[in-house]
Amino acid sequence: MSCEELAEALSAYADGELEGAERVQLELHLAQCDACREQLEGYRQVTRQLQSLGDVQPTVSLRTSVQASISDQHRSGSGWGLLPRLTVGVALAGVMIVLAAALSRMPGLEQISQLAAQPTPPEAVVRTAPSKTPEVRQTPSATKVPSMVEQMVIRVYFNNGKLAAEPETCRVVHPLERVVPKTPAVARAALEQLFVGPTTEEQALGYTSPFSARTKSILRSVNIRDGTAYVNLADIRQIIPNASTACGSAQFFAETEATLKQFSTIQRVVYAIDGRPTTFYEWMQIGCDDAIGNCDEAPFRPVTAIRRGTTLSVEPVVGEPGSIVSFSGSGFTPRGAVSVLAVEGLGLIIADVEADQEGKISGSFRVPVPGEVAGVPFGRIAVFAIDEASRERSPNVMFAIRPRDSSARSSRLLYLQNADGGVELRSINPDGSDDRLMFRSTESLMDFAISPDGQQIAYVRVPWSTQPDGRPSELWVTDQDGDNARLVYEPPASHTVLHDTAWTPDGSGILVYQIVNTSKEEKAVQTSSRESVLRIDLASGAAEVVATDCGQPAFLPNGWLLTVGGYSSRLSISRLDGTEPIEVRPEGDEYSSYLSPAVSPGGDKLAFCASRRAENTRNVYVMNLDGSEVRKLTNYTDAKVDGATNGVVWAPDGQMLVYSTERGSIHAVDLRGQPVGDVKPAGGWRRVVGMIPVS
Amino acid sequence: MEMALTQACGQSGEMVRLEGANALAALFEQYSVRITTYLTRMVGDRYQAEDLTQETFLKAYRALSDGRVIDRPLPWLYTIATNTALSALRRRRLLSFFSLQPFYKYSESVDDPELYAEREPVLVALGALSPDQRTVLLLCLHEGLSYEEAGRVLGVTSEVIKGRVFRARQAFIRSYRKSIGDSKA
Repeated sequence: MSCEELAEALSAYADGELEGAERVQLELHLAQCDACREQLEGYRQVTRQLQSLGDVQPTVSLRTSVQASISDQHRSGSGWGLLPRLTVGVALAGVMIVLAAALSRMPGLEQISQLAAQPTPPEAVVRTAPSKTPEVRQTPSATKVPSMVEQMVIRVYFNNGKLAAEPETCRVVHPLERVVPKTPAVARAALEQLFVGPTTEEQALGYTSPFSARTKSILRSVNIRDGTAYVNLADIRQIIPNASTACGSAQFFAETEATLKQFSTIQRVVYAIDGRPTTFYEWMQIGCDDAIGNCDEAPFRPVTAIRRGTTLSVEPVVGEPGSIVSFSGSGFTPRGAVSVLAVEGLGLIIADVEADQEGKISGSFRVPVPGEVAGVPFGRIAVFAIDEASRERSPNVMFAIRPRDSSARSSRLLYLQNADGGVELRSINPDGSDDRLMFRSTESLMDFAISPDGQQIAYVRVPWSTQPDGRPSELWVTDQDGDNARLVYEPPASHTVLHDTAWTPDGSGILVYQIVNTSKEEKAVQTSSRESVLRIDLASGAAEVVATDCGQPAFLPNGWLLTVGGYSSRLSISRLDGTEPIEVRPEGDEYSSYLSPAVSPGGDKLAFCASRRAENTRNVYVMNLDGSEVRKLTNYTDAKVDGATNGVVWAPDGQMLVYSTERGSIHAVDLRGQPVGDVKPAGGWRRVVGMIPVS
Repeated sequence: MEMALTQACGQSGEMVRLEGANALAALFEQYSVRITTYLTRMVGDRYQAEDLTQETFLKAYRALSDGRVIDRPLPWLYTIATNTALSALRRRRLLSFFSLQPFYKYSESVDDPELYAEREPVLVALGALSPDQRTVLLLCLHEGLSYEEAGRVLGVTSEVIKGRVFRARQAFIRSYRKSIGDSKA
């Protein structure tokens, strides 16, 4: 698609108005199209230019003339002529007369005059009376007139003994609203309101809290980094002594977390007293544990404004994910610690360095991999440095993350073959030369997947003894030479089969497809089997369901998940948490028996093995991710006569596909289906696993 | 997530019920900056914009005193302000041979010449758009309404807004380049 065709979608995307499949496709296209990125930047520039115009404050004379013409309306009953607007010079005298005449009997004008006298928000716009008069800035030129501070409504959550009985009353919280001056620091504003505690009226209604007037100033700072709010408190141990009791701590956590999690940018909260999380968690009798990441003091230190005189430069300002880029800067605290961060709002630390005695820094960082950290996009990110001593920051440097260009490198194909009742993992050049054994096993191993760094291999092991019925299978990981094999996941139930492994882009976990088969008795009453995709965390071994009723997981470069569902007849993509699912349907015909869907390295194309309607075999197809331009790359006609394909993988440059057949042959083709070469002749059983670049 | 909506959509996310005369004070207090800003950018003349702001709030007041209950006041005010501005611009077009003043002439204070120099080409480009294009760009890009909200203000679908924003953006880019003398225009 050309940028011209995409222009309207780009404009909507710039406004955050593109959803679903359209957005995913556009993002994938943007990742590799400089021209479209430039056009998008132009569209965003228009938004910035219009926003830079700023607000126009109404003059005092406008306010007074609105008041005056309303009073005129009231007096005349039905008249609707506008009063000629008064110039500033005569406005005051005019208003005093009009108001004096009107105020005595007009409730509407009393309201206006009250507004003019004090800045409390009017009752009419507040659903719940605020407990605290918001601080309102007054402009010097308008002392008698309420200033035009915009306000916003935020929620605070308190317990309530009348709305929930024991023991729920300790954990269940109920929202109340507060009106505060509009601020981008919403988390701070919400906590400040929470820490004031419920008002006397609210207490009479049953609201309770560990927080009260005594705790109103306990908030030192709140920093949000990568979905976690780091709440730094003053020493509250004497102020709220019973917060460490069972009900007290439940209330404390329930109220603060509900209040913070009303904001979608916060999923987790970590606390500290005087910057020390250990103090807080020991007081709460929870303790501090590096495994759950509540011990680190660094994120609690507040960041203030840009440090004057700091510079930061990055060379080059464009790089591939994972590449190493150097930076230098000056103006930092001599011999002080400096963190280099990427992506505003995410607070992703990419380097920690120490300034020299002249306050200069230099070092290098690894370009974040989009998808590896949620929220890191292809395209431009802001890089900046924080002077940890003063907690001040440098100006931003804009850095562009470009998709990997692997075309210059050669690659190796990894494939599996049957051998002596077991299995071999082998690697070979795509031209068929240099065929090497990586490791051999006499057990039944299947569904191999190579880790993103190419160093480890995940596979499913099927113990012999329980085959073939109700076999429990296990997920294992080894080094690429077969050493250091370790069990990472064993399904809790028998009658469970694992299949289809895929590594998460950051290598921290493995996705695996799990089918919990029903027993024979259950099958008799036609209970369906339950399919799900699990994410197994390699560090903890924890299993978490990321999708249900689908299998054959694969990742898109943007971190989204591709799965096959509907009994192998439906391809869909979704976010990793399963939200925003989109069905990908090849245009023009119906396909079934999808096998081995593989996303191209650029993320724009999908190759897969499938049976087209009325065909008795499985061929290899490639199409755009939106289902358009479907191309058939192989020409098998009948599985019994000339075979069927059983797997397809992309070359790292995205220009070639390698597929295997159920008869054991392996072939390379280009994207038009032209043969590039035969890798292995027919014989035995083989299946392609993946291709890895070799530098 | 009412808060986030409130921020993202320029305060129109809140569910506020306003009734009668008491409400006008609240309405003016909360929204006069938004409406004054919007109208100033629409007509390019802050004095005329103040008249139109007054007219907008008085129309709102009349509707409220007729007993109308409004629960999303800002989009409703934008609707009134848009209609008020468009009819003022039509009146002005009839009189246009009297008015040789550039669009932005009175829209900015000239206290800060640097700021003025920066904003001038943006204002000139905005002034060169048709009133309809200006409306949709201001509502969506300057006032920060979502397409759906802007659609509600203008009585069209969000799909229509999407197309209008796109065309208005293109037109703005062309006229901005022209106003800064860019050869790409």
